[in-house]
Amino acid sequence: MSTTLDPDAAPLIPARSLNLARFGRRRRDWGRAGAWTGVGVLVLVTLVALTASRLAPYDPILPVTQPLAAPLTEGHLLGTDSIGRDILSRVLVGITYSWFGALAVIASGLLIGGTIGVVAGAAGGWVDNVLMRITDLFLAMPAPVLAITVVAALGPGLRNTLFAVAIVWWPFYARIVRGEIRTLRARPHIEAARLAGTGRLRIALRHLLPGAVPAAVVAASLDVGGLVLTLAGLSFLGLGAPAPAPELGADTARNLSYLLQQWWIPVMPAIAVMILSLAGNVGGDGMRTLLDKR
Amino acid sequence: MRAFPHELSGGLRQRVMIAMAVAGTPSLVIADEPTTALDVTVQSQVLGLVRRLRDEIGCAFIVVTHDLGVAAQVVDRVAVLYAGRLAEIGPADEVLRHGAHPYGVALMRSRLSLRSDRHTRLLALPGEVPSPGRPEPGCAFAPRCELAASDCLVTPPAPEPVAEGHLSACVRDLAAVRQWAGAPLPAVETVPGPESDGPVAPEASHPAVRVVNAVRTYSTGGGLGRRRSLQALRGVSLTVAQGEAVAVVGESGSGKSTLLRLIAGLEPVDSGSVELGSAAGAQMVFQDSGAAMTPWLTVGELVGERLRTAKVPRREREERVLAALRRVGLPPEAAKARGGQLSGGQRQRVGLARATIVPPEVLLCDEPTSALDVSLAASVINQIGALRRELDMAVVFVTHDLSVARIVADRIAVMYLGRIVEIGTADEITHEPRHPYTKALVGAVPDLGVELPEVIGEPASPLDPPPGCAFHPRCPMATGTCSDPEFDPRLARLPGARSSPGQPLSGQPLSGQHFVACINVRED
Repeated sequence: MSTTLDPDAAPLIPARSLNLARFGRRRRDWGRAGAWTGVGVLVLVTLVALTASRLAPYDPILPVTQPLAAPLTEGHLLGTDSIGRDILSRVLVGITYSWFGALAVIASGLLIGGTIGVVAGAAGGWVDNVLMRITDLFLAMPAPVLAITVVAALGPGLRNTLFAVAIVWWPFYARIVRGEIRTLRARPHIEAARLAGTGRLRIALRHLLPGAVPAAVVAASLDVGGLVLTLAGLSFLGLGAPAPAPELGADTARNLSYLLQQWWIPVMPAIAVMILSLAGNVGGDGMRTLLDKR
Repeated sequence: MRAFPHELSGGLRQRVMIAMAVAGTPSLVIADEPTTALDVTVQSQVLGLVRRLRDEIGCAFIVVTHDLGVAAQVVDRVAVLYAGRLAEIGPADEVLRHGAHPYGVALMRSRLSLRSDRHTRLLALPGEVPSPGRPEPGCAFAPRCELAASDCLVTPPAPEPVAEGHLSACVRDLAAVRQWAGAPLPAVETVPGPESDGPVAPEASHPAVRVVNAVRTYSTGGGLGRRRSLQALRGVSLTVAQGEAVAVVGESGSGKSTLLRLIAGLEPVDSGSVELGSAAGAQMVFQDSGAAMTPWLTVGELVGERLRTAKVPRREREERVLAALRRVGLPPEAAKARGGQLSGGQRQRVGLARATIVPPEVLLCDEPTSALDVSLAASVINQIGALRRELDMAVVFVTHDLSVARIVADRIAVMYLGRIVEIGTADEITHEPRHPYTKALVGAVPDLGVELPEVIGEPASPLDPPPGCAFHPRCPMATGTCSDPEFDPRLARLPGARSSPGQPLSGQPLSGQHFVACINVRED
């Protein structure tokens, strides 16, 4: 060996590692900014859905001009459909149905699933077993088949479809909440609360439930996008509101035959579904970044 | 050699880590708190190993530790760090005995040893370690330093030599520090206990806690469907008089925490009985005070929770919460904080406030100081003593640290593998231990100028306690009888100790006297 290793020549700490720390910090800042953007998108979509009937330039149900007008003609931004209804108006009102439909299903899921999850997780033992087997039973039901059954029994309509989806949706939340509660229950702070003589109900509501909320909210917000797709899919199959109602899935399905000539009639509502679903996912990711500390 | 890490005990794992560290014959080994989680007996084994390796391999060791006794055992030089700066560095003996920096002196003063004066309030530094986020100009220790003056706040002092090889970063001159260090500490009233009051027969006054022959067995999954039983408590009897403090010491796996949980009512006894003296019941201060606080509830809500149980009207609650916080030395603003916003010492105080807002019959403390720095631990111990006197509570204090037990308790019970093997007054146990296990424990407490004897072996597994006297495999005095499966060592009053007639030789220690479960001692 001709070269000698001089111990003083090599720097003790490679300079690169110092920059890494700064890079990490910057990425985290971006992550938070992105998360807030995602939540902002959620809020924006909700605002649009709330004010859709006022934002819509025309009545979504009635024909307002000649049919089959292309997008960007005579004040019809997205064109008109086969009988001359303004597509923009129909899409906006359709967004209201889809968005609030999804939110309603999630809210009911959180309510039912959360309650069952808290009771099962906090009680343990046979109560837990019975409740979780019931949950498994509902989880095993195929959503579209159940929806068709419910609609067949109760008649078509948006409310019945939502009802059917809500029936199969809550078990996810019951499982998440129960899992969180079980983990929390083994923690020392529950033992401390028990020793303080705190009642079971108060332990469940004050010492256990708040700890399960972030996980449930994160799971729920990530579900919004998927739920919008599910509801649009059911409505595409004809399980939504009946004919004149502006519904994104149904509008796409009914006008599928125009796809090759007047593509905008089926494609515009489909794009709206895509945007909603995307907004749900981006917003859900944002919520996860902000709420999930793990 | 064929074992996986999870199959080894803590002490063996630490030895494996040391073996890995020295395998390549390095010139420097850094040991970061190498013995913090270990029992004293195992700690003395690991420290002995470090010393031997240093001599044999000749590599340098940097030992990071918060325990000055450990430092005294293994190192040549000690560097005292405070808030990211070197406060003092010098030969171990000189720094530990004649510190030149006020912080070093204060650290040594708040340290507990078996020779600490039991009747003196422990010195605890006021205030807290400054937050690293906002460094202040000047000496970082100045806000907590009794010798601080205005010139301390200007620039951080540079380390200056005070003696041969001894540097100290303090602008006060050495004589002033030495004079301050030599000043006596304020004394507190003596702790009333069996020693000062004479023997108290617990039946005469109502005992706060009476545990009779408690047995607790857990069943654990042994893999492949085999169930094994873990005998956490194998017949423990303990009576605690009203207002008395009893420390329970022992290695991990000795069942001391289980005993506490049985008294708290967090777990049922399998056989035997646990009785509390009155309806005031037991409250517990947990080892991990942070985990014992519900993260999303405020301190005020947590502390006030027992008032709700006690049906105190809503109007009075807030006032009582603030009073309880004041009693443990927390400001009223603490009521609005959540667990995550508090420091370790503050959380432990919250735990104390929560346990004592409605004074319990007995306060159970599960190693409340093991996770705290010396100075913080001292202040928590002072606090427990003050609360006990103010509220006339009995205290059962579980610890693995005999020097803490000696300060806190009137009596000490030594547990080994689910049995009490020796019980007596704090001074009897620490100065005249009779059971070979207690002797080993006392001998393994690291201190300045103490040569640690090495205790052989590891604590036996409670899954499979050795027959006869459970300590016999590690006992230097063991005879053939000790391992006889028929042999069942029971606590017996020590011959020569004061004994009242009519007391049975086995079972309950009734009057704070010295009981030992060892045949060799009885036959002395």
